[in-house]
Amino acid sequence: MTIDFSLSPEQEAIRSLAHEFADKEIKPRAAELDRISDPAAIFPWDIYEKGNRLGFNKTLIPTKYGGLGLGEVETCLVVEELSWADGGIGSTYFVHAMQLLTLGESGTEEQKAKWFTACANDPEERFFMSLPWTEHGVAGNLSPRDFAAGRMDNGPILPHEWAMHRTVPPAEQREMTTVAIEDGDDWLISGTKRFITSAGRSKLLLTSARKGAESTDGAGFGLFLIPADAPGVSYGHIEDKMGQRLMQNAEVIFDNCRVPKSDEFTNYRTAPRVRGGDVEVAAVFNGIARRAYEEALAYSRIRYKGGARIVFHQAMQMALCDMAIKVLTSRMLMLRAAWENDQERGFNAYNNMAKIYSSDVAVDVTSKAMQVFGGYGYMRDFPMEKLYRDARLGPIYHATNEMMMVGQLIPWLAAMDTIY
Amino acid sequence: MHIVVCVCQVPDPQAPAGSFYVDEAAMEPRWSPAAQPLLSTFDLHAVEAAACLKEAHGATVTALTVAGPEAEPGLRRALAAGCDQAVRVAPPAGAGHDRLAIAHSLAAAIRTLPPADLVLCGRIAAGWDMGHVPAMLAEVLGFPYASPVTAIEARDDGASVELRRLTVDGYEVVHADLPLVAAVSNEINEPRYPTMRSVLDAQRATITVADGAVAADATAARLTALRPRDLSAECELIDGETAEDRGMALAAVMHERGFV
Ligand SMILES: Cc1cc2nc3c(=O)[nH]c(=O)nc-3n(C[C@H](O)[C@H](O)[C@H](O)COP(=O)(O)OP(=O)(O)OC[C@H]3O[C@@H](n4cnc5c(N)ncnc54)[C@H](O)[C@@H]3O)c2cc1C
Repeated sequence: MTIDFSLSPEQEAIRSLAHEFADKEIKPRAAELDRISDPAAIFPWDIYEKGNRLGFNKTLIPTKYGGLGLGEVETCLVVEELSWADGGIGSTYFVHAMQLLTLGESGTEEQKAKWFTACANDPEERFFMSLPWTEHGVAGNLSPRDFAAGRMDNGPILPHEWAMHRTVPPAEQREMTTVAIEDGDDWLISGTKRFITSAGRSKLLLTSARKGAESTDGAGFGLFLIPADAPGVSYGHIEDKMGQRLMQNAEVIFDNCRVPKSDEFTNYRTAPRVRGGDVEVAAVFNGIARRAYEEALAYSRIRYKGGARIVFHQAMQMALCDMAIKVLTSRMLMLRAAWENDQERGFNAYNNMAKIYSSDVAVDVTSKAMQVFGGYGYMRDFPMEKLYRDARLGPIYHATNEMMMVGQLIPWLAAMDTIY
Repeated sequence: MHIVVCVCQVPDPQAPAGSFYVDEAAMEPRWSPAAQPLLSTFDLHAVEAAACLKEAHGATVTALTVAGPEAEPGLRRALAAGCDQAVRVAPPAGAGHDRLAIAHSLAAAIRTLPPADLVLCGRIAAGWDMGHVPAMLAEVLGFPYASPVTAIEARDDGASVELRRLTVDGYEVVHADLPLVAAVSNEINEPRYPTMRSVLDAQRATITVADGAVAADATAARLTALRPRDLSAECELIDGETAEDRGMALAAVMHERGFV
């Protein structure tokens, strides 16, 4: 009998520290920061520095590089609590955690030693990583068009092959315009990325580019580690977003940016890539959904209408029950996936499901919670409209839910007879 | 310098009111899992004060509690926030709300430790709001006592401290020889957050369980009934021709009843 759903005392202590920080340092200020109209003037460095000093950006860095050596379960607990107070702050940490995972899995020993150590020992406590992949014509993921066409027989479905193909489709299909041109021992990178989380604030960019202007197949796709202040890197338009305004999203412009070959992520195509940040993004939306549920429940206990407090109205009861079930199941799915990852037996399908489900749940739960608040839910005096705006990002970024289903989840499901 | 910080846990002051109720038959407060006990707020300030003294002058800091094993998360919080070791003494049988038994037990435990130069407490526990223990503890130990303390500095002679003591309209500066019991108030500092690393280290630390409990005195204060406060309110409308009249009438009523 090994099944055990309880958190360890360490995990509980970490969760409660993150919650205390979120409650005292983020929650009282989130609404006011969210209302600043200039998106360039929002990013609250003081909150981020304080959080980083406690270790929130170092959970996944192995102890030998000065990090905390924790797993994805613990990282999810932290991101969920921060997101409970503000989804944008949660997202900054999710995106950063995703890069730490990629660096840990696919970086060379030198790359890890250099950048993990830099993050763990940053005297300013401002170390975040960005992932400049998306361009106007290319998002994080695309479905494997040619792969399916080439697989008309009844042979076995190999999820890895399918998934790898998805990850690195022929370059011209990705419509990627950022190129890396070989120049002696360096690459020269040029192109424009957009919507990039923490761009202009982060210290390290894990950038994708097409290698060689004419390269047309997957071999021509490269990933490069570029210091955010390297010559040839600049930042363009800062996005004015509907929600999650406490994170910053901006264009990253590479203009003949010189990158030594040693900073290329050559291992990326062959390294197994399961731990892709899906559970950390799920944590963002589980935090938002749980907060919305808590707010709705508390309001239903004090709002008097139609002869009773609205918690006694059956329609409200059904909404609250539905919210609670979704919040709990979504969180369980996230923890299951994160736990599997930490046991080194991570399974793509659970990760994808956690991202897709949690983001849909957050949109649904925040919408229902707003309904419980009635007209007040639509007003800025109450937290519901912000939670709703913050939740709406979930099904869109880190691959849209549609793209994640057709590009990532289905290969795994198609190769299996059942799921449990 | 050896500093002993006496700490205790209280129900989460931020927990929703509905998660807390009074069991009148058992004469005990009860709370749901949503309102897990936390280290009492003033005790957090006491721990921070000890950590600051340790940073400035070097010291060993012991966190001490008289409570059951349910109080261990609070001790671990104290460890994460700068204490070097934690000692828990099982509560004396039948102590109930007898604060004197708690003070005797704390004193007995302190005597088993290396000699304490400074004993810090929070000015009151944010649970029962009594604030009796620190003064009783000083009396039992035979140490001088200061409360509520809003600043504390070790003096160069290494044998005394300079304290600020809050008064109704200001503060007093007091020089006191060590050893001393000081009960601190929240004005003294802003407790820092423990880092994740210190939280993890504290989870892995061993808490010493000492057998220092001193039995309760049957003749000491006894609780005979515990009931929640009656929160019913009455509404009174103040009359008057104009807004000014009503304002004057309101001020008069408030003055009459001693609100202002
Ligand atoms: C706030 C925010 C932060 C972001 N942060 C980053 C970041 O840090 N780094 C980064 O690289 N990117 C980032 N992105 C980009 C994000 O990953 C993309 O916006 C997302 O993947 C969608 O791509 P797109 O905007 O080009 O939409 P499109 O690809 O134009 O999608 C439009 C619609 O078409 C559907 N669709 C597209 N392709 C398919 C398909 N093959 N099958 C089925 N349906 C399809 C989509 O589901 C969607 O409904 C961020 C975006 C936002 C909004």
